[in-house]
Amino acid sequence: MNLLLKKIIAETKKYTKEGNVATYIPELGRMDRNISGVSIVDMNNNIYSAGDTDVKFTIQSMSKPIALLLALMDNGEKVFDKVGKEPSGDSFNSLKRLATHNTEIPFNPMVNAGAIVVTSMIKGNSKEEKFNRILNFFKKMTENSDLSVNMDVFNSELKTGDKNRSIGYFLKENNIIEEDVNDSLENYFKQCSIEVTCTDLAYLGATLANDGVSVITNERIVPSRYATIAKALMFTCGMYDDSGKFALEVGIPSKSGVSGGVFSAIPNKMGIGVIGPSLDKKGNSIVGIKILSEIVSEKKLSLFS
Amino acid sequence: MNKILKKIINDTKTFANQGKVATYIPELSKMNKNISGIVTIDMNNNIYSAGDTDIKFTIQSMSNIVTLLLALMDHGEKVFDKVGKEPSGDPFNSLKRLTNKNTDKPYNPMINAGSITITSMIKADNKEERIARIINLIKDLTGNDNIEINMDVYNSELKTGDKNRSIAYFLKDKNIIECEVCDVLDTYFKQCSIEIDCFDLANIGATLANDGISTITNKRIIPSKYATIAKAFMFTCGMYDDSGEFAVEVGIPAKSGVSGGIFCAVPNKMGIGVLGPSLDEKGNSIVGIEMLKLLTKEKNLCIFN
Repeated sequence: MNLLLKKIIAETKKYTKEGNVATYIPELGRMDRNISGVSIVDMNNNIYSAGDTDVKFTIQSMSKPIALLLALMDNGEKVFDKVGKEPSGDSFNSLKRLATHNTEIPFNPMVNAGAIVVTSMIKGNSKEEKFNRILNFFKKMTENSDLSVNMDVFNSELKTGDKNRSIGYFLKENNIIEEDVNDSLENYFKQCSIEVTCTDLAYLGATLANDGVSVITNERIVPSRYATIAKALMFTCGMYDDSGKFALEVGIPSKSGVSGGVFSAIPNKMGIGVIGPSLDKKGNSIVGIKILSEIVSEKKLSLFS
Repeated sequence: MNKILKKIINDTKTFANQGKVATYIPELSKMNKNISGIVTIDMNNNIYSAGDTDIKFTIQSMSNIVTLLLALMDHGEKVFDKVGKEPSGDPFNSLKRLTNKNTDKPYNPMINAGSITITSMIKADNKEERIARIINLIKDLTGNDNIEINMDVYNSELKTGDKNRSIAYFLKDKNIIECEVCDVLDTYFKQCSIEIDCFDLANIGATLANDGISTITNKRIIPSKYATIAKAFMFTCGMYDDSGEFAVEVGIPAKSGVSGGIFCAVPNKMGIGVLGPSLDEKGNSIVGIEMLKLLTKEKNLCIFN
């Protein structure tokens, strides 16, 4: 497996030249576009990896399904009174259709509007307590107790987050966000600024692939039903408005972030984490998708074949 | 298995009261809302059934998968030069966003705009040959030589199909449809009026679940790659604008039609055909979905578990 991954990293390296590193958050623009890495964790906690797996990057939108799990554990499926389950057909930060015409709630928890609502529903007596709960939960899911927030990226997001503020206030106006908007946005920016490596991402995927049970301790971290919900939403909405194409061409539950990471949860088989900062027009890692395609076709992992 | 199916039929019977039979095609409204049936066919061609499985009904949108397969076999993946791969977030017959603003093509082959385009791409010298080729593929997929068009439904569709005419002329104006609009619509209305029963649907599902190979004859009918594409589209866009919800709650590739039928392809396990004419607001069979929920749970079929 390590050999296969090494081969895949070498063969896909050329794709790091295509596309662009995200610049709308200035701090992200500093990432080296030439790096690429992959880690795999299987259900017996065997770890395989190749490439730049020691590089840290921020989790960004990959935090969305994880925050959703915590909100589900806090509120049960009442979460879906405030956010839907349908793909929107729009880009993740679109201001055009923040809510569906029928229900007035954001389309799904993977677009920014939905994710901000989800973060606002995480319980705690103060914004600090809420964020500590988020960070602790992320530590459990990644099996890494050293996770922390990259304060430079967080400050950069704070400075440039007006689109998300606009979305936040729209949701508050419609009573979809019931908590303080500023607190919710601050925690959302912070959650996006948590630093991870490919290996952290692979563990996130592995825990979900393993029905919500830690592959290290065999302890249940999330209820089975919620793990299924997260995988289903990753599958239908996880790759921004390229999710349909990705379902067709790769066919595994995955979530990408604008830092160039992607993590995947292949039911009962493995978790995968990849990094490649150069993005396509939809905001997905170009080399990351190539790496995943190769692994899936080599190991026959598509859920439909 | 027959016992499980019988119990499922009994346990879901009352859900018929919660919805309505489709009326926008007058002939469809004549269906009895209280009937329900279910058939499953496994990879060894074992057939199990319960309920009203002898009733014939029209295939409607479930034909979109068949025509997509035929267009793929005619043109390969050039089909996607004209139709996209993304869920739209809109109802199937919405006139609001017929094409994706970024790509200028219909969002996917499952909404009316996309499926009319797909029908226009099926190779034939004339409209008679085009519908004959569609019927022949349905015969191959169902293993049933007696597939026919219900002319009453067809005439009803012809009379009331102005929304689809509007869509088709819009697509013609954009050169997405290249052949004669009237001929394409005639074929489209005819393909939707093809009569099938739950066994036929289960057979179509079983062939797709079996990687494109008939479970009856063991003959390959569809290339593996295209069977995968069909299952992926069914999963992301097959249940109208409730596909995301269905993915979370049921989690198997499925395609519904306004006649109240649904067929499913559970990879390497089984094909399923269900009928229940009473529809929810999105246009999906209420009893059908309830039956699929119970069966999926009972047999642990969700692709994420």
